[in-house]
Amino acid sequence: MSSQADNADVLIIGAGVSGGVVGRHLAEHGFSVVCLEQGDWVSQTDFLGTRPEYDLAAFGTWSADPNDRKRDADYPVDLSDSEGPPIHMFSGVGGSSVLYTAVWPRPVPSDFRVRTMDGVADDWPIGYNDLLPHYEATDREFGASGLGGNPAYPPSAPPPVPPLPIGATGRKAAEGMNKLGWHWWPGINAMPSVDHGDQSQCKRFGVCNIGCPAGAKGSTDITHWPAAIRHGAKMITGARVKEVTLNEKGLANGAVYIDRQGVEKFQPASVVVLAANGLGTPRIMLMSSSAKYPNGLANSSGLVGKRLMLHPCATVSGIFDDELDEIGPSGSKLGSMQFYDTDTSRGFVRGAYWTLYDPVGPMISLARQMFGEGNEKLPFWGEHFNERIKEQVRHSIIWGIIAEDLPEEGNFVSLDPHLTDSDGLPAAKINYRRSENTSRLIDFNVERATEALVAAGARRTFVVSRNAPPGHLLGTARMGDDPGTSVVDRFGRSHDIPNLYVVDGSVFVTAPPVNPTSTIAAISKWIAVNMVRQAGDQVVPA
Amino acid sequence: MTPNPSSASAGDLLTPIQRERFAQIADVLIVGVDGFPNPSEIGIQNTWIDLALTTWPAMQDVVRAVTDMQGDAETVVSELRTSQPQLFAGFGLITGGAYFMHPKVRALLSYPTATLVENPPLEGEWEYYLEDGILDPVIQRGAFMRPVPEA
Repeated sequence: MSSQADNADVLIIGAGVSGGVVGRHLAEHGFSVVCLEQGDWVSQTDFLGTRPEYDLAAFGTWSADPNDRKRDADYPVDLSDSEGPPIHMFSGVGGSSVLYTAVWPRPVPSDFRVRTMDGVADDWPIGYNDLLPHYEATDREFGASGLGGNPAYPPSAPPPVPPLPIGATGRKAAEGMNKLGWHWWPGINAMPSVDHGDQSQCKRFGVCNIGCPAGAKGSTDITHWPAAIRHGAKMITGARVKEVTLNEKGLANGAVYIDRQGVEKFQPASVVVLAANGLGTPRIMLMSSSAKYPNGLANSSGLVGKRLMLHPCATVSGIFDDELDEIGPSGSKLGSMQFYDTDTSRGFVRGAYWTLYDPVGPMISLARQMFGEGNEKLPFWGEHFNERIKEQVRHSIIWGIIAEDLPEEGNFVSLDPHLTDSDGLPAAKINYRRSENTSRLIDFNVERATEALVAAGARRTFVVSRNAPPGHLLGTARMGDDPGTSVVDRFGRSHDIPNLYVVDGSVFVTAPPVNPTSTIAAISKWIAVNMVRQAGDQVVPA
Repeated sequence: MTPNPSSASAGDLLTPIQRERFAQIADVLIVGVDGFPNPSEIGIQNTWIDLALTTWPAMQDVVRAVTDMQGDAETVVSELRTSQPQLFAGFGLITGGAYFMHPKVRALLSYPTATLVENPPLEGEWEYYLEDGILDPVIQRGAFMRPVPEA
């Protein structure tokens, strides 16, 4: 094994959103930063959004599902014991932000006090106000476009960039919401409506989910890593981490990784930061078991990998006689928080966030037609094919519903006993069952979204899915003040190993029902800011 | 229905026989009416299915499996739908994807261009779509989330 590398102040494992935020912040504050990323850099010219085959890319070479994509950098995910949605993520510089739709809403203050408010799950050790300055900072870093003044939130700084137009689709849906007296607000998206820092203006190709060909979307390969590298950070791609190592005193002292040639190497560091997402981080922790930690690194609580939350998502489609947009972005035209807060008269606790998006491309119409509930009763194939597709293209509105699922120890990620990645390391295995509360919550919101589409004038509605994959991987190394019931403290530092940090969605205590990337960014910023503040007291290997 | 083994030469995604069968089966799935072409009329069995299968490689085996099935095209489609719905779904998606790429089909589906083009927001566009006070009812209703007690 090669160990020629210089010792880094901070080793970051994973170059996605959280790794990018931490890496940039620490590099800008003078720390020597090395990042190990199992994937590669991607180029705007790699993306297919401006080519004829763009509409198939999301099913194949640019699928967000590693089990479909099957690149060497991906690790497979065993879902044979899961009733949850497929897993979406991406391995490469930028991580899953390369393929996300950049919908950027925040939670509300009550999301951090779930036990207090609703008597379920747990309160977070930090609150909305702790994160507020970091939300505002990362809004700027990711080029968030939106409109201030949303009455669903306490007052705060408006998004740094004006909103993207809601278009004819947004107006049509908003008319329906107004008829019902329901909340809506122009969507907030991490894609700037004007040039912003290293990001170009959003060109509205509408293909955010297969990679932005304009260099506009707020993904950390654009927004963070170039800036971090300008400040001296070192990015090592094609580096698959096998194990975080400890010294004789039980402190983290680096990581062993496998390069593209299959050679094992060692990167020493004073502090190790895990930023490999809610699956990858517990996978590495579980692979890093030792005599001291036979159940996985920093796992004295037994909670590494447990309490996996996936945000099962529903989508409801309406078909309209009016000609609507089919224009990007594929992020959010509108958001609604009408049914976000708990109302126990509905028969469940917690709630859902709705996001309205344009279905761009005929493939989404084909897939909706083929798999939508009740559509099998309609004549389709043969001479009806084009008629059925044409009625949907540029005549559809889709409400996406993100449901809060509660943390349950029966939902977890573990190491697969049989399946491996291309380097022979164990794949991730998911055990997940959707709770009765979540199922009721989804069914209720599907009915309300259908009403909203009818109120807007839809002549036909149908449920596309009640178990769609939003790619939100949360809760598997939760934060907390009690070492017995949490993996890391409120600053993302391991209770067991004081120079090991977790900074990604793994630390979520609950899963507020909004797209989580803005919160992952804010939490990783909070952790990075506190790492700098507390650097003088940081315990490191000799 | 039993598979009729055939193999493509190195570098070819499908054999000539498989391409011919693909066109026949695609013409059953998608019938050109109201000005839309039949798949075989646009050569779906050549450039377009190759591009589709290169973009979605997992469907190569699906297309080969279906095109190797014996029987007339109508029978293949009918039996697939009833006895192998998962295979049928994959085949339907890749066939539709290949068909939709043709510029003539895109134009008939009301797409103004053969591929996606830039459409950056115009100055004043976001304000335009919020004119007429459409947001006013939301603003007037004001805050509505439950207050959170002090920690």
